[in-house]
Amino acid sequence: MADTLFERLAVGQTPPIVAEPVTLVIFGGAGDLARRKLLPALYNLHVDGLLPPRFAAVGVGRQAMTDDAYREFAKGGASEFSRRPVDDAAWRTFAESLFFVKASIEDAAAFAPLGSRLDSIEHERGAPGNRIYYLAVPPPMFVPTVAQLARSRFVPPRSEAGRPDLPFARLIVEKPIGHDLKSACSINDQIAEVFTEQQIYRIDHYLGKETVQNILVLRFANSIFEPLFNEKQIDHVQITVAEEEGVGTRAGYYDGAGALRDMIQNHLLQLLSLITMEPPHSLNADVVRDEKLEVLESLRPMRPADVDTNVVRAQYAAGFDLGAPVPAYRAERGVDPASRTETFVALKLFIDNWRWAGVPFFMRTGKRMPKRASEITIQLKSVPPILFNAPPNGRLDPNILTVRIQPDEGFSLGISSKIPGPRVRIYPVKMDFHYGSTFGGSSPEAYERLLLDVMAGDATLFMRRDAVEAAWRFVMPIIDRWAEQGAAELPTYAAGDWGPAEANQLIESTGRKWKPL
Amino acid sequence: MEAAVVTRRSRESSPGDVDDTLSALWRDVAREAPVARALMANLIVLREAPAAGDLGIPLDEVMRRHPSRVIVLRHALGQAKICGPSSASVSILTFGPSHARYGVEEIVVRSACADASLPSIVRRLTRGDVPASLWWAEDLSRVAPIRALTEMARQLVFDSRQWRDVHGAVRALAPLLDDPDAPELADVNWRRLTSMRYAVVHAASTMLPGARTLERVEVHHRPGERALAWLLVGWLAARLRWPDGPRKATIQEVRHNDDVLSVTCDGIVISMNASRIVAKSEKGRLAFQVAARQESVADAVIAELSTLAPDRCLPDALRALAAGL
Repeated sequence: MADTLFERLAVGQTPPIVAEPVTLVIFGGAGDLARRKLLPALYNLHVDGLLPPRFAAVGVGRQAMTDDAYREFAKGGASEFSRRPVDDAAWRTFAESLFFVKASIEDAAAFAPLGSRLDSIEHERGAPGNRIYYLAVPPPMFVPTVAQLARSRFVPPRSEAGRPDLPFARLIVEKPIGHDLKSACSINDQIAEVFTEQQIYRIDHYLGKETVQNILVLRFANSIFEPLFNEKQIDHVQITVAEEEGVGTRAGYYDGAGALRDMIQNHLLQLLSLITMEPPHSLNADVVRDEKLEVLESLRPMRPADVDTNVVRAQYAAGFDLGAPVPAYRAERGVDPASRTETFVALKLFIDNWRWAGVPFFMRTGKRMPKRASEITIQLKSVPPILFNAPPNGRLDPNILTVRIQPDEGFSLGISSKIPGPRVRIYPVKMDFHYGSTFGGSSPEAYERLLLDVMAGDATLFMRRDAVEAAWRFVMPIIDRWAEQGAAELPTYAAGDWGPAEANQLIESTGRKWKPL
Repeated sequence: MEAAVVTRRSRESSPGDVDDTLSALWRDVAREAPVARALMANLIVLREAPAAGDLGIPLDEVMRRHPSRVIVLRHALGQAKICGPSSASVSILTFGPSHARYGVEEIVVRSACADASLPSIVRRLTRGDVPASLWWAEDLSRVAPIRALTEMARQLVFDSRQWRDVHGAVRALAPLLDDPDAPELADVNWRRLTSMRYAVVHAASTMLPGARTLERVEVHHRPGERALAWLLVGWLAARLRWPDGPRKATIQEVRHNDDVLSVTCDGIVISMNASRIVAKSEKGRLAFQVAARQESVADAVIAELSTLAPDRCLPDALRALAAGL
């Protein structure tokens, strides 16, 4: 029976997604990620009334900046990158929750003033001291930042983590976690000395996209699809994540990483695990993540010979982007002119479990492809070659379920239909669902959902340590094999093309084709 | 950037041929360029006839973002004749870029019939495989809900900002509050109270932790926000089970004030303007502030149309007002 004023008023209220006041501390607060993604996402959450009372976001960076200057910086980012225009009245309120503190991660002494500023901001706002530390800094700074947080006593001892009577401390880490299995384990180990696994939120922004979240709904909220998702019905699955941009301003990182580390190890394997996982028995974060982990652990390991036959890497040569000439990867600013970094990877893999035994999965990702497009294509087996599929030179198109992740989020189902008229003529038609046309408006950006989830303590859409390491375990034989091959020349593809001829051979040798995008 | 209406193709029809006319219109539209038919629901819009040509509601925007078969009833009230509609026209509005063009259909019928005739008209025009919502575009204090229509909808959408007489509108809604066959109530204006209610609950938890109820509640509102003020009081009366009902609170209109609404009670003041809700102690010390949700009328209608979990606090607030006013 409700007794206090609070309990009586709270009856029937839909609980807010985030109820606890929280301070978000963004290391790298004046950086590109903060400006393009985090601050616009926070602004949109504010406009939607989803930030908790007494919320504050504190940017931390090396350069001195006043709070007002930081607010202007944030407004610039929101004006340019927010999904909705900045409203002056809403901005004024939001801006009051933004602060900036100069602190260098290398400088232990700088953390003391940061601590006092945070204390003072929280005290003024009546906030209880719940904090989220966002590492929007280059990967080499992850461990030093966490170490400084521990040294400066920003984080309560691990033994006190999760105690409901104490303020919480959470950590958000951006990918990439390491550049190989060993370094990933090392980073995870060092972070784990300070934060428990329940406090760590490893972001893969792909998992915050509406369509990606809809994969589970599509599979497990509709009885029509799930019975088809197995080796008896599915011929093969394709996952394509194509980028039209070149390496851009990321050469410093990318030239040391490449497409395998940058995309396959995280985004594509995460998509694969969502599309192939077993039904979880609940939506509890760890239950869902256990099932995803099962997929990663069921991936058939690649032997060196498998790498040679099932993996294609390539680098873009000079070509055209929408008619305009663009340089080769090696001619891009910041890239080693002799670089052997792959900008394209295609691979064939298998999941050795009961459900997916023998079904080939084809994945490809690359830069400087003709367009930006991310899609999962699930091709069903063809109907028997009798009745309508009997003519040997008039085979029917197989049914294809396509999940479009970007752009134009949605999904479609390709089916065969009779053309009206006296003859039996069959034509492939598409049943198409577009988020934009069905639900209208603009979907929340991935970072909005993910930031809100961290504030609410929901880790479902974040990568757990064991999954990160399982993904690295799968790609390591590829990395090792490529390292053994030393200076062997990479295949190339013209910028603006769908990859090298070898990628087509990879799939066509199995009697299949890449789905045109 | 969000796409605006690309085209509106309209055609006159006879009331009995609406579906045939629409089919022909769809063929014409598809001949120009591929178009997908988008349909999530039926949306019945009631507007009294005769009325000005403009419906006075952001219907195109709602159609764009919540594609439904829209049926606009231009209905002359108070008629006794059992008859069909006098005229009908159909339109297809297409939206979106060329590669993802979609169309939404709108049917406008004019009727001057008895209320008893309305269900058969609406039943003919709605699609049975998707739910139906009824958008009451009239002031409920002036045009009470027509039971024959409300029974057909899963949801009655209205905007209490239109209420010129709050008591009259509450009286009009009262029969729906305890009727198990009545549609769910969705007040566009009530949504503006969401952040305010969170702020009141949060203030109760953090500023009045030991309190059991609120005494001496005063609500001040800007001109035109009387319904919002009464809804807030209705919610407090329902939740705190005030023995003397909503009359326990005093409500005053304040001119020349930036605040849309403010509530003063037991030493705290919580005020809401267009962009924020601010909670202060008696001495004027800022305790906390939260953002006021920024929604246009179209945003709010779309949010209500697409929710399957109605806010149970609204009927409770209306029930308290109905009992106490």
